[in-house]
Amino acid sequence: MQAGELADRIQAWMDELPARQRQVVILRDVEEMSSEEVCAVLAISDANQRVLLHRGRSRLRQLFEDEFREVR
Amino acid sequence: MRLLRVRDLVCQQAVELVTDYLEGRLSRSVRRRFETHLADCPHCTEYLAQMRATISLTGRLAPEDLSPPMRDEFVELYRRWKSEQQ
Repeated sequence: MQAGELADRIQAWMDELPARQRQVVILRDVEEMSSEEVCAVLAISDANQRVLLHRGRSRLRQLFEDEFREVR
Repeated sequence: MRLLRVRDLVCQQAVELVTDYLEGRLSRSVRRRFETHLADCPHCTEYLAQMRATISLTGRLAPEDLSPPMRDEFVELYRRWKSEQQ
């Protein structure tokens, strides 16, 4: 997979996440903000940030796994 | 066969702890139970590896790679955040 193509796929997987989960994942894992910064920007509690991060990353993991299983 | 002890984690519990584990948010006792479970469970070990791979794959996306609608969404979030700080 070319770099641009990979970016497009990750982008498409991100689109499958509910907005709040997507925002948390992007701020943490793309923008590389700390959890404190994410809580401040999104005006959410620390507990909520952790739940959204966990659900968002878990869903992405599932989507990646499905993708790579198809490739095999 | 070892009897399941009450304090042993089952896979479903271990999977739910993965993010907090990676965030360094588990208490020492829970972390120890998590790691004990992993040492015996290839499935959860694989799951943790996949979570790490997912995070690093997402991390290869640069902010400029985001689609225009997603970028707009973040510009709006930042704007609201900044205005609330004043």
